[in-house]
Amino acid sequence: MRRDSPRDPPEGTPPEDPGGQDPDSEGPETDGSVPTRPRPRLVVSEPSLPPEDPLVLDEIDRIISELQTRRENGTSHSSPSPWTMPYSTGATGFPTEDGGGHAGAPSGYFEEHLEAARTAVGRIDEQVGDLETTSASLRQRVAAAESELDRIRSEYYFVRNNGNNGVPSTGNGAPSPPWSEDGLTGSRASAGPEEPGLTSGSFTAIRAASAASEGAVYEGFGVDRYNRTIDSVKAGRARLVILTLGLSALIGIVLLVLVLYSPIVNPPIWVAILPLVWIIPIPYFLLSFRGTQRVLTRNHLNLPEAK
Amino acid sequence: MRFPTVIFQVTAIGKSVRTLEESVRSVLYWTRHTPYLRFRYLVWVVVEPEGYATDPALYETLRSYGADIWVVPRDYRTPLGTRGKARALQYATEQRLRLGLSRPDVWVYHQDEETCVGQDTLLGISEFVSGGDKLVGAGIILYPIDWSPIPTHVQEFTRSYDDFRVLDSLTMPGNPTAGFHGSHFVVRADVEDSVGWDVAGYSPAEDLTFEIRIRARYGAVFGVLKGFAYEKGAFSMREQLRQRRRWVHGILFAVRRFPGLSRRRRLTIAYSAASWFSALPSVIVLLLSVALHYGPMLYFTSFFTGFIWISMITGYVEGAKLNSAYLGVSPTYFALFWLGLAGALVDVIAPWYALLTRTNVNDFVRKDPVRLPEGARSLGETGEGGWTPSLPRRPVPSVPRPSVHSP
Repeated sequence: MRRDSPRDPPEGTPPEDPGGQDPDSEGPETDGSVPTRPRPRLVVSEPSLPPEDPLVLDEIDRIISELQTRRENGTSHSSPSPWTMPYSTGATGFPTEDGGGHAGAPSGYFEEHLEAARTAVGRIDEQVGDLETTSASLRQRVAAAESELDRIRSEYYFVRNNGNNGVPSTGNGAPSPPWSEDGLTGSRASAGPEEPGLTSGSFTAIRAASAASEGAVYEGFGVDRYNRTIDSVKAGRARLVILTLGLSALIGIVLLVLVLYSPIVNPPIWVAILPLVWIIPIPYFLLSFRGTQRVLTRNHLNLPEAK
Repeated sequence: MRFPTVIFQVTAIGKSVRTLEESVRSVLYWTRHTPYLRFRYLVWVVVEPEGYATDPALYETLRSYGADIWVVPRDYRTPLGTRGKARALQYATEQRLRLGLSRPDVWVYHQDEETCVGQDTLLGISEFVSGGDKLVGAGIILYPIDWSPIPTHVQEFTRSYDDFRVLDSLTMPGNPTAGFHGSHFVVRADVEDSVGWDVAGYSPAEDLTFEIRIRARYGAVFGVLKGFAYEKGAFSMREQLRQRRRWVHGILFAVRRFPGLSRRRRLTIAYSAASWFSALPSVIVLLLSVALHYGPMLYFTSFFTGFIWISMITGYVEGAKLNSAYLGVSPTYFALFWLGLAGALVDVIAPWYALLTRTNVNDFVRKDPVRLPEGARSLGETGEGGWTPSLPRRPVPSVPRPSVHSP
């Protein structure tokens, strides 16, 4: 038995056995090593086949014979199935040992799996991309978590040391981690007994509440804005004093001039005493003006920036 | 040594639930986002049963967030039978005594239902309760929440700037210009609980009577509380008028009926009220003087006339400057002038309106906006009315006075 190719059909094998394909369908030519039909369009490169063991070839021949027997017995398949040959022997277009090759369209089975493989590769590619994104996101979150842990640690020592910002040292220069036994003991000692309402469950709920309140108007009420506002008021204080006194004098002069140049009238007494009412609030306004300037002068109203 | 505890106490009828919720959330948010606070904290919400019934689910939500919800029992009576907000405040006082929280290391920060805190508020409280020798601290209130360019909101600018006067007066012996807040003040719990809020009958300005009692018993123990509180103004001129009416009634109550008030303090408060009452006559005299061509008083008051005018304008301009950093929009000077003028007229009329009409415990101003005016910056929550008394701080100085003689 001679074979031009390991996949050439055995002698006596009908030329068309598309492995379950419809016999009437367009099938590959198998009359020789030279393809008579255009080679099917394949996207993937064709692999070179390694030397095959004669036993394997014999096994293939046996399977083909078995399939042929089944077909003759009316057990042909209208569609590819796992136990049929995936494509017609001798029609694969793969190169033969002598450098030639058989042209022909691969079976639908082949295309189907090739497409599935392409899809799988595409998905793998996407998932690798997703993994990169997820990995980057995770790195960011880990960095944020580490930053928060640093703050927790700092806050922890702040509480533990009754408001001193210095982080205590363990003796070798490294600060005690807050989760150490020493840290936990210190925490309990300084925190004292729990107040009513201050339960761990409450704090969990508070965190949830905080998270749920994103975007509320009060989130803009930071200490930096407060300091800027106070600075702005304080910066304009001297100018305001000068402006107030200057404009007051100017208005007073204008009013006096108007009075001096206006005709003298002698109103009834009840009208004459009415302007006394103008005097009533004058002390109040003077005290207010003085007080406002005094409170701005005497008090350092700024607050330390939150770290 | 351990950090003191601060109780953030929101005392209100509780019908403006969205506003109240925002206030509580602001406390929870900033206690979480402000490092190095030198206090532990509790959140207390003290409301009336009808307020709780408005939205029980929301109150339970607040409870799940860690707030303690105290509903004042309907049949609760104080020893002197006070009513209104003072009754709820007295109830909270008794709860602190019962829980053993009436101690020198516990402080109470008082909030109205619309009083939001910021990071600055908490840092100011932290500084005050951890270091000072003062027993009561009050600070400056801004009005940026739900702000819109309407007369009532522009009028609140003057209150913000007037708070500098309030702080100075409060920290001076005798409180010469009678200033105090009903919110945004922190007081040591044992001090508050020792004087209490109970008075005979209904006190429309319970905060003023509280300040009088503290000063009478402990002396000049008032300090400046750094950091702003953030509130909202009335949504209509009618509500502004009713709010001011309640303040006036509170001042008159203190002058006429509050026991234990020294003659000096009574005179001081009466004078502050008189200067407010003089606003409307001043306007009338101004118009009369122009009409009658009579202005000889200007020989004596000319400088002060200009001074009062400028002081009033300063209140609006500087108040706008204080608030502008927190507003989405800043009014132009032109808008400021006209809106402020309209708002000032309400304050001018308010004391006389208060003389002619009566107030009662149900005379409250809603704080949940039903329909926000154009340009308002808000979360847009809607709800129904009812709210808690604010504070009797003298809002608007006075009014333009003297006349000019036409040539």
